[in-house]
Order: sequence, then structure tokens, then C-alpha cells
Amino acid sequence: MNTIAAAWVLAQKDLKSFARDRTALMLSLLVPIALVTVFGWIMAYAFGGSGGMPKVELHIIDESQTAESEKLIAQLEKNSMLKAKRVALKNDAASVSGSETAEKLIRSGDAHHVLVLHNATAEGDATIASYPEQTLVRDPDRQMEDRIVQLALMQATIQEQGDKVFVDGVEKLLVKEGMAESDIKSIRGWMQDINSTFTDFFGDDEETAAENAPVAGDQPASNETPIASEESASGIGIDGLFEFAREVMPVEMVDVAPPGRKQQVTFQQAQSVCGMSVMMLLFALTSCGSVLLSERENGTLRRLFAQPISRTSILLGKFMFVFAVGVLQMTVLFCYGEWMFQVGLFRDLPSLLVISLTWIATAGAFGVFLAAVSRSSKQAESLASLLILMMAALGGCWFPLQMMSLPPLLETVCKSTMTYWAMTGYQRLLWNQLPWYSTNTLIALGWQWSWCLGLTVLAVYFYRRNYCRG
Amino acid sequence: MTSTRELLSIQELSYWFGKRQAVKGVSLNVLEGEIVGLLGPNGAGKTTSISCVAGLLKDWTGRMQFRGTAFAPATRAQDRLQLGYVPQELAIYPNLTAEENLKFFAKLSGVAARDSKAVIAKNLELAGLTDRRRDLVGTFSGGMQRRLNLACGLVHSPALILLDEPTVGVDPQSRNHIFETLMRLRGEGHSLLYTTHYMEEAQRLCDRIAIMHEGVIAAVGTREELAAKIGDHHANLEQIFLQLTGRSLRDE
Repeated sequence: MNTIAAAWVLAQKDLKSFARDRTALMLSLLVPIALVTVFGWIMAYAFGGSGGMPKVELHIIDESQTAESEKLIAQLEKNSMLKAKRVALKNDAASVSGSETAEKLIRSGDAHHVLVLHNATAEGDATIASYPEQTLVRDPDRQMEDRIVQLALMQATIQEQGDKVFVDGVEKLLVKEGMAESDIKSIRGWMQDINSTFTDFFGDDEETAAENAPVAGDQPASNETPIASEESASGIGIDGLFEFAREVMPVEMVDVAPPGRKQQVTFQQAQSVCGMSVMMLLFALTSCGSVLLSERENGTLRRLFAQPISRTSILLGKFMFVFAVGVLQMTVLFCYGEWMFQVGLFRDLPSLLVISLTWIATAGAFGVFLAAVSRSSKQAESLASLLILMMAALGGCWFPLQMMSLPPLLETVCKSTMTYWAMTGYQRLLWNQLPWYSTNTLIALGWQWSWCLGLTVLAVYFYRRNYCRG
Repeated sequence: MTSTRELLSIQELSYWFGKRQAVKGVSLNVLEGEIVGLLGPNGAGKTTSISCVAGLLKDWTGRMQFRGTAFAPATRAQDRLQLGYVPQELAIYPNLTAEENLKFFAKLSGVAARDSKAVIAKNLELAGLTDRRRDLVGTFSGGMQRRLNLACGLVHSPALILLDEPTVGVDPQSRNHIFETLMRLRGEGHSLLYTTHYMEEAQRLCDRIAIMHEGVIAAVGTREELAAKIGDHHANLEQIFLQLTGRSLRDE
């Protein structure tokens, strides 16, 4: 009997045994479903809750390169709510503007908010003529981050431009709305009063500003429903005040989103469905991989070794078995996730297949490796729990790493986990709507295949050392 | 139905577990249609010897021949096809039915799909499990599992069957069933190499007995030949073992 045929017979036997073990079958399918459900719901409201806010990443492209733009960037970098990242424009790519670069960053999923500081135009007020014009290029469905970015931007602008910012902004707004210059001058005094209110509201310390700022979960930016409906003494709600402030700020908003993205998809839910699926697959396949240990502990492995088949086929049979279970689990989970949360999983089926099969192969290799390296089932279970939970946390299965302010060392550690690359692959697919052959996704797939190959080589080595010797 | 044709020949077989030598230059042959018993206490080297023959252990020294040609079961799958191995443990799958277990091992042993049904039916009958063929093995009694454990080693009708203490923990009824099965197999021309530490079993079943002690075969022969060796034609196996090894089998 050739190796592949023998491996397939072994895999069929394991699948049959697995199907008969109803408890294991139910646990491997229902537990992830329960977790996907719970995390999906929780994450959908995560930003409406209390607790410390993670830092939000803001990419900054400084085209103006002036002292004013430097000051503004310095203010943004100081802001504890933000993780400001400067993006350098390449000198040799003069034809590529800051806005184009920003759009590219958003479309590739490398950024969700990019602030472009342009050279000031002459038509501005003389007092702020040298102040850079700002364009905030953003992914419109990242509302969680949007409020924080805008609030921080308001603060930085007020701190740099002083209390004229609102008066100037309101004047511009009124001119735009068609009010006569003489009428605007007549209400200038009243506007000064509003100005001090805004300055008090947004320009003081960050904590107060953050407390004052309305927070949103997943409400569409264009049609917002206020969550915090508390009204100020003047009768304007906090949300209203925030919206008004946004109107008068000298920042132009440009939304860049993949055209096919469904409006109801929330980043949080896509994150939860994928995060839980990635983590639970590791648990399931590690448990399946341990059938190798069970074979040894039950004595059936000795009998298999005495059969006229190669020992490699036994290990290959375990790979086939874990792969088949992985496909089953992922199919069930994704069908459920799509039905429950409509995250658009099946929009690009070929990419979903490539990304999922890659992850199943990698997680399967991890499961078999763990079985090959462990001395007993108990050891494998303990090792699996420890490694999987660590990798899930570091790889961003529980919470998107983009929302965290990680020190460089920890960021490197996170990027060295296979779960990070699995999550990256799914985020590129679901959030950025990138096909499997896009550069970013190929990098994520490449890292996973490297992991898969490395783990397979180690699994074969330890299998030969721990199982086949004497 | 013992013939004089040699099936398996083992010469100077030795095996080390690290620095400890478990088998020390064992030489033994098995004739076609013969039951040879390896009798000895736990730790005598019986399982290690049979594991070398079964191809489970690789780094042994010595020579093995099967029907006169070099035999390397650890490295050649084709050589393992000549063997049926029945381990000491219950090496069957409790989540599969009796029929599925037999089918699984039949497939691995290369039994053709067209013959599979007949082979499985024959072995179910041999194990006395025809009525329970569709029941999960996990629901079987210990004795039934032992019988199936034996049957799984026979699905490809091997020339030589290696049995490693197949009656450990078996009730008398199932033990008798196993004995009858082994006698039937011998009647069909199979050869059996059988390890045990039960003297009664060896005396009842085996055509020849190899007395093994501390990795060495102290003597080989029929009971009568072994008794003659110690000069007491009426001696039983226990007395023979005591004389040859200086120890009682029950003391070990």
C-alpha cells in the first residue's frame, strides 16, 4: 500500500472515530460558535463602554514642511489618545501627492486615518495664512477611531492656532452659507462668547476633552444617532456641539473605502468572527493532533508500526485528519458568522478559500507538531493552552492590535506569531477587500506557509525522535 | 500439522535499551505450522525479542531469515506483510465497530477490496463476534475485546503470527476461545510465536517452548526434551524452569 493511500485510510479511521465521539464533536463546533457570538456582541459595543481607551494610530504626511506644521505634529504626537506616525513622501516620486499616498495607505489597509498637511493657500485669513491646510483621509467605517482622531485634531489645532480658530471657522461657514459680510460683523461679539465655550470644552486637558467627547460604536458617520444625549445649558447636545465644532475646523474630510464594502459590516464584528475562528481552530486542531499521542498511549501505534505501511504515512494521516476537521470547523463557523453578523465573508470566495486553507494547514501543522513534541496527552494539553492563548492575545485574535499602543519590542513579538499573520490575512480580505493575490495578503500568506513548513519539518523530526525510536 | 520446513530463523539476536542489554544473543527457529512459546517472567526479554521480529525495533544486531531469505521487518514493509502482530495491549479502536476495526486493518494490510467482505466475515466468526459486528468496541467486555484484538492481527492471513501475551486479564471462557482459535490457526498451517509467563498455557498450546531468562534463551524444545535436559522425565515446566534458571517462575 503506498504512503498516500495508507495515510488516507488512517485519516478516514480518525475521522470516523472523531464523528463517533459526540462530546468532542459538539465541543469543537459549539464552543467556538458560542465564543464568536459572545465576542461579536461584546465587541460591537466595546467602544460605548467605559475603561481606558487604547491609542489610535494616525498617519501624518507633511507636505508643507513649515514650522507651523511641525508644531501641529508635535501637538498630535504629545496627545495621549494618539499614536502619530509620520509618513515620508519619496523625493523621487514627485508626481505622487500626499493625498494620493494617503488614499493608497487606506486602500491597502496600512492605515485608517491619514492627515495630510498641505501648503497654505493665499485665500485664507492673513493671521492663519501660514498655517497648513489639513485633509483627513479616512476609512469611513472606522468610526471608533474617527471620533478620537477628530477630537485630538481639534485640540491640537486650538492649542496651536489659539482662540481664533472657531471665530474664523464660523465666519467661513457663514460666508459659505451666503450671509452678508455686514451681518457677520454684527454678530462677531456673540461668536467670541461661543469661542470661549469651545475652547473650554475642547482645548483644556486631554482627559476632560476625552470625557466631553461623544463616543460611537458603529453608527454611520453620515447619519449619526447621538449616544450621549446629555444637553448643555444652551440647549445644544454634546453630539451637536461636537458636530458643529467639526464643521468649523479647517480640516477637509476625504472618505476612502473599498466600493464593495457592505455598510452594515462592522470592523469589530469581522474582527470577532475571524479572531475567534483563528483561535478556536488552533484549539480544535491541537486536540485532533493529539490522536497521535492517544495512539501511543493506547498501544495502537505499535500495532500500526507493525503494519506493512511506512511510518511516514501514519504522520501524514494525522495531517490529513486535522486538515479535514479544520475545513469542517471553518466552514461551520464562517457560515454561522455570516448568518449571524453578515460580515461579508463569502464576497470573495476564492480569496476566502486561499486564506482559510492556508491557516488550516498552518494550524494543523502546529497541532501535529505539538503532539510530536509532547511526551503525554496531559503535557500536550497544558502546552497547547499556554501557547494558543499567548498567540491569540499577541496575534490580535482577542482585540485588534491596530487599536493598541505597543512598544516596538512587543510589536515585533506580535508580528512573529502565526496568529498575527492569519488575522492580517482575514483583515485584508474582510476589511480592506483585498484579493488573496494583493501584495499585503501574499506577505501574510507567505509568513503562514513559512510557519507551516517549519512546524511540519519539526513535527517530522520529533515524530522520528520520540515515536519511531525503539 | 508441524512440518520440518523452517519458516523463521533467528540467530544471535541482541538488543540494547541504551546501556542495558535486554536481549543477549538469542537464537531460535520456527517451523511451518508450529506453535513456539517464549516462556519467561516479566523482564526476561520476551516482548523485546518479539518486537524485533515484528519490525517495531530497528537497531538490533544478529540475523533473521524468513523462508531462507534475509528478513528485515523494521525497514521493509513487504517483510512485515508476512507477519501478523497481536500486541499485549488492546490495540483496537473503541469508537469503531468490530467490523470497522477489521476493515481498517485489512485495508492497511493490503487486503483487496473484493476480498474484504469475506475476510472480515471469517475473522468475525473466528472471534465469535458475528452477532456484535456492528456494535462499538467500547461496549464490549474485556474478553470480547481480546478476541477482536487477536482477529485484527489475522486479517491478511499471515504466515507467522506473533502473539505477545494475548490472554492477559482474560476470563476463562474467552481464554478457552482464544486457545481454540490458535489451535485452529495452526491446523490451517499458520505458525505462531507466542510469549507468555503462564506455564499452563505454554504446556497446553506450544509444540516447542523456549525458556527465556534475563535476555537469554536457557533451553528450547518440547516439554519432554526439556525434562530430559534436566534428567527428570516427569518434571513439569515449573520444575524445569527452576532447574534451568535457578529461580521459580512464580518468584519473578
